[in-house]
Amino acid sequence: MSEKQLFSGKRIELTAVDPENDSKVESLWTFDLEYTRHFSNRPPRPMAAFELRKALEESQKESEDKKRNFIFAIRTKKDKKGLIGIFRVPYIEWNNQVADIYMHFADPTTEKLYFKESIGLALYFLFEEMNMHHVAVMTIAADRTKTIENYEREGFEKEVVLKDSLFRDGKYIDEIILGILRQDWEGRLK
Amino acid sequence: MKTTTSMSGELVRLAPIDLEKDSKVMEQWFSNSEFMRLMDSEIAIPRSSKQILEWYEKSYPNQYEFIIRLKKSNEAIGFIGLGGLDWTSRDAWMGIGLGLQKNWGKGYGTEALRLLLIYGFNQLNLNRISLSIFSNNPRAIASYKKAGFKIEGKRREVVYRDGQRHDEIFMRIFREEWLQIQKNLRLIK
Repeated sequence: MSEKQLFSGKRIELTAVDPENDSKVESLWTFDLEYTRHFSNRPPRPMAAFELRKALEESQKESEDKKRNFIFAIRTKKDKKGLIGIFRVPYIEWNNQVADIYMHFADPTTEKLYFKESIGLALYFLFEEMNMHHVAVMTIAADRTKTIENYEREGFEKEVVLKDSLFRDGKYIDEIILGILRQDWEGRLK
Repeated sequence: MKTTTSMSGELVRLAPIDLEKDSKVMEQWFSNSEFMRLMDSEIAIPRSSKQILEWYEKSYPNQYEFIIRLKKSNEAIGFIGLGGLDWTSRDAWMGIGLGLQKNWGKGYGTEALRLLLIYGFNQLNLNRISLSIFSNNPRAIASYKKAGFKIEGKRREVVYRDGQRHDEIFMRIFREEWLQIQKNLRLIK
């Protein structure tokens, strides 16, 4: 019997999303266009709560039906209804033991406070429950230096630099793909 | 040398799909596991002509996807295309596949690639064209390098086949790099 609680850390919990309420919070985050651009290839724009509610519902349903994606709400134990972040596993290749992830927080201060604990739970789930071999973050704009450093501090490496692949503020900037291998993650636990 | 947009070279041309006919030919390609395992990292599984036809009907309007045809016989030998277009950033992802081994190593892919780059840069006004390829496909990596693509990194060990793990290698070519190659070619000729 395992004593380990997969979804509960010291201060935070990974829970199911609540499309009705979480979409209202997420709508505020979409004013950050770096967040929004991950929703499609189209030019990013802030998104309405109703369309995000639909997206969350669809994502949940697809997850149930196909097990090709997962989505979690990140909440503090103090405020179990409030949403501080979303952890997405948008794409899983079971045959290769490979997953893409994307973790987003309400704001940089929240990210600073809770990133380490959240990614710790996420990686434990990915490697020890999902049995993944490689986990990637696809893709982060290179000017998100704080976020990139956060991932690197937890063992991720910059695996690919897509040079000048993103146009923003009148210039082309790089995008980064970060990745971590099971053996690197295990090595860090020792 | 002409660098205006042309869908036709010396050996092959890029043509829209002939849905009824080509989907039947493609059924052969999609039962060739070597082809499928190099094409993407998904589980290789045979597809019927009906499934292929339905996939094309659904997604064709959103793609810049062509069938590669031999000029001499009009035979469909593969596909090539651009997807994931980001018009703002002027970036797109390309893919190519030649269905049967007998058509590999004859310069068909190289010419199709040359035509696609002309199309992407001269017609779609792209700034860069991206692709990814697996480390167990050195033949393709070499031909992309020859065409001017450069390696930008790799996702480590993300493909598992026959008990071995392979990297996914990312490559790109910029419009400026491509133009320089065109210029050099003209100087040689």
